[in-house]
Amino acid sequence: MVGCSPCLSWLKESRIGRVRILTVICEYAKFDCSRSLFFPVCRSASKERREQSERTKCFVMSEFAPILIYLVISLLVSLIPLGLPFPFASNSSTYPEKLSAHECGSDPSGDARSRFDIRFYPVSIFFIIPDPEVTFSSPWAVPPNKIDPFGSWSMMAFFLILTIGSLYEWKRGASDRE
Amino acid sequence: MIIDTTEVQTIHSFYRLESLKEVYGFIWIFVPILILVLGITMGVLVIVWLERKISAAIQQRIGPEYAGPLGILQALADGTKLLLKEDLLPSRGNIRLFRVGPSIGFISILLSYLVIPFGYHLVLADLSIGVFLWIAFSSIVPIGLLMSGYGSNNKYSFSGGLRAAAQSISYEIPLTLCVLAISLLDIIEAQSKYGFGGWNLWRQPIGFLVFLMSSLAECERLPFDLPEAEEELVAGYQTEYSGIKYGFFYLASYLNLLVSSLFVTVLYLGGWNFSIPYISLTELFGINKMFRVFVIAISIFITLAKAYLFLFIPITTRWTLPRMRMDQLLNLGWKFLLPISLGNLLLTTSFQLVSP
Repeated sequence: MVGCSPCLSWLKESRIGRVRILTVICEYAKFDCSRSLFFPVCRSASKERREQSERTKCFVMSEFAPILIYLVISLLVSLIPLGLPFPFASNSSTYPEKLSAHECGSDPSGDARSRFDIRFYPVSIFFIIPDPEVTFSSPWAVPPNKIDPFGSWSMMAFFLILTIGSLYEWKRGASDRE
Repeated sequence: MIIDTTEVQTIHSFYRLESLKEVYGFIWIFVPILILVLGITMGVLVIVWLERKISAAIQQRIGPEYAGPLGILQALADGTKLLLKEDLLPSRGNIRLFRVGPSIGFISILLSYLVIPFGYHLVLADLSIGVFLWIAFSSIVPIGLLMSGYGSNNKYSFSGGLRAAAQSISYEIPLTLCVLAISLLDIIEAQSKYGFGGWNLWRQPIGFLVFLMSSLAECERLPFDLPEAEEELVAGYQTEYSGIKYGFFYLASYLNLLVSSLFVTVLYLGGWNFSIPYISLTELFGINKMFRVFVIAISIFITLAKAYLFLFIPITTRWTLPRMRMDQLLNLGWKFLLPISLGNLLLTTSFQLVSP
């Protein structure tokens, strides 16, 4: 919202000179707006000038604005219940045994942050192999019906390399949990 | 050149009108968000009630019956009770991690509701990445669980947190591969024809099964609920928690279940389409495009109805299947689901290449 007024003033300047660039940006903004729930007005704007200003507004209020607002609201939703029990939750009768670590009734022995099983560690390392695979193939898969054979085959080559890596890891027995 | 003062005033008033419209648009963003938050809160209450009633029916009990008619207010009563409980902080734990942990999981699951389409263009944030935002947010959840497991300084909690991290890392990959295979096709538009015969479920049966299993594992539901196994790990990373923080874990798991079943509905079960062949809803009720509110209400109703009907599957698996072992779980993830979902993706791609 803050960035809107310089944008509008820039729009006023550029009405004569830089119409070309503006239309390109507006086309992009229209692409955004046509799919937006919150600005049904933008689709039916009639006059060109009004259209331009509204498109610019849509460009500023991009599709990530609801995400930010929702993030703030969900923070509130999780923080308000955390603060809510302070007035009426009982806190006076706390005795030290209650606060010690629960080990089914007996006194806790030693610290919990000692050594842990090494087999949890390779799992997070193996995650590194398929993770770029998935990350890099998502832009390949998302636009519908736009993959030419070249794109598909280059993706196949990428998959092949990563499959060789994970097969090697499998055959060396690194993913065995015994 | 002389400019009229009235002209200047008109320009100014127009400018003010513009900024007023911006404020209006800014407020208008809050309305759907608040409706969504309220709706998912209600949804979670309904799921808790459903789970209690169905489990009671499976075990031949009655289930909750005193709080409200048919015990429908039981979840609300439980939540109020949790709010009134003492907030215990473990004496030797890391208090900061202990406090932050549940909120991180809860917020990241809450955020994934942003991208669920409840109807045609009825999404809170209509991003081009869509489902992948859900996957990105759901990979933040194990960080919160690991934090709460480490912060508790309890052996059960620590191994529960480790298990949670390992499990959700392993099952995230098959889940994403299934979503990739689905997103090669048009997700909803292609499913709108031929009623339920056109669902993606029939075109991607392997993908559906893998998605179902991995989403059960991501939600830590019973065949895969090793991180919070009550019998062996004393509820895992939740052992030291009490009061509303424990309630957050509870709430987060049900929210996760609801979001997975909504995504199953959207990806595989035809989304908001009526899905009975030869019957068109607009013809049935004799409505035209003017009644947009009515159409929106119907599409939301259909999406939710499908999602809640689908929820019977995870709930019955929870009360009928035994738990797996940790090595079985990881082997299933890495040696069975991952190759199968990769093969499914390659199969879909080759079909896409053959038939343009």
